[in-house]
Amino acid sequence: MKVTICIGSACHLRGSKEIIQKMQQLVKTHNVSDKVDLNGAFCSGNCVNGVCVTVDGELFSLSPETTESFFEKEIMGRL
Amino acid sequence: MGVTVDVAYKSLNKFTEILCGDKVEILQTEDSHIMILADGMGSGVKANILATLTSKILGTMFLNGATLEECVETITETLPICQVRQVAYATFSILQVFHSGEAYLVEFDNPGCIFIRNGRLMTIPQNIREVKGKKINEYRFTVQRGDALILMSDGTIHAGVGSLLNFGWVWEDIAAYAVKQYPMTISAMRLASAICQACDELYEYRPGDDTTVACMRVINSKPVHLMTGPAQDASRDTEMVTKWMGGGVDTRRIVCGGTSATIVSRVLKRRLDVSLDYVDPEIPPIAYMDGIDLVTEGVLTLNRVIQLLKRYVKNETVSEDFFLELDKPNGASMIAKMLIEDCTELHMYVGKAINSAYQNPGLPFDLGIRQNLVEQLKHTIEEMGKPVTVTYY
Repeated sequence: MKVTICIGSACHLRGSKEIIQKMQQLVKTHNVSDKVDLNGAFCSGNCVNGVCVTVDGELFSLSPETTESFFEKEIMGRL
Repeated sequence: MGVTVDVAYKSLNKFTEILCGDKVEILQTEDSHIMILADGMGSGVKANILATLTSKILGTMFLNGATLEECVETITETLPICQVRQVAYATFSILQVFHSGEAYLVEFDNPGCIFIRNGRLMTIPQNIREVKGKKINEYRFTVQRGDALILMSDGTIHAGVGSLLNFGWVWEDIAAYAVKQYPMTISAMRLASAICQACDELYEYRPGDDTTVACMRVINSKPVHLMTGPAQDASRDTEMVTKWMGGGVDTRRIVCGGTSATIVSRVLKRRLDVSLDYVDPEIPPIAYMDGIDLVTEGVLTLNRVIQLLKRYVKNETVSEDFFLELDKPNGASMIAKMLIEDCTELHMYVGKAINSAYQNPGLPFDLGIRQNLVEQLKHTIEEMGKPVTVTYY
């Protein structure tokens, strides 16, 4: 599964770094690093709503606070 | 021959002084680069005024084609007379290198210019001429690629006098040190800094005199093309990318901005790999694209680049710490390093499109300041003595 996290200016200011750290941690604790491929990305053009994250091309808007529940639902839920 | 130069200088103020009594002017004419170093008598405010007047007068008159006689006469008649010593006095050195490779060196009472070619010290012959009662050495020669020329104020040769060294750091030893540093330093700034740093150490970090080292290295021209921001009219994307990709094999290319990088990737049909590696918490990670030297985020990175370049231009804070910062692997340090050490001219390709998401008062930083940053970048690089062009799209 390919997951991208935007690190463009606006997303960076909304907490990309924290989200990336949380995701990397979650991937490790769930032991799914062979299934989940985390990547950086530049602007996906949806900066207004939050940090842009895509899962196999589907676009989501995240904040650091919603990262964990997002991971459980959209990533673990699809595996 | 089409030579260009890398010029930089570094000064140490006499211990406890806020102002430096040495002054360096770096100028360009249509067909040459000029570096002037003036050392005002005494220290502090007085010396600073003398040195500033001297270097500015020399610079302005030289630019307007005045002869050496006219310059010296103007200086003698303009400088305020010191109440203590009853003379108006500043020493100076002028080095002018033409694009044709011809060079002209004028020296008055400063330590002699250190001239390094192919890793060896060259002798500058004595050719003294009296101008308005001042004994001035003149030397006309031709430079080659790789030559380094170093001008100094006498604070260098006095370093350590009476404490670590009996007679200070004698010229021959400084020259030998410069020859040793020459192959180990890639830029004029690192060479000037290395010599200055050694003086500071000999002074035990309390310089007894204002100390300045100004260095000019003759190099190949190294243009940098920097693209930032998407074009206002998206139909001009291809034109903008094509212009930015122009230039010869020596041209380095930087793209600053996620959207800009995406456009480049689309136009050139090259893959863009964005890293997740946050080496600096404030600067978003860089990305990679085949054949492009640097791909970074835009506004936040540029803002940091300008901070670094301003520190560099101000000069006072350029020390080992600064170079450590410059050597860091974050996008901003990498751009700043390229602009300072590996660039002789900068061409910017700037898109004027406004990202609506940036017009958001909820963000902790005003992202809508790209054009302002571009202007600041332009001025700062020009202050470094490098020509800049900006093309807006």
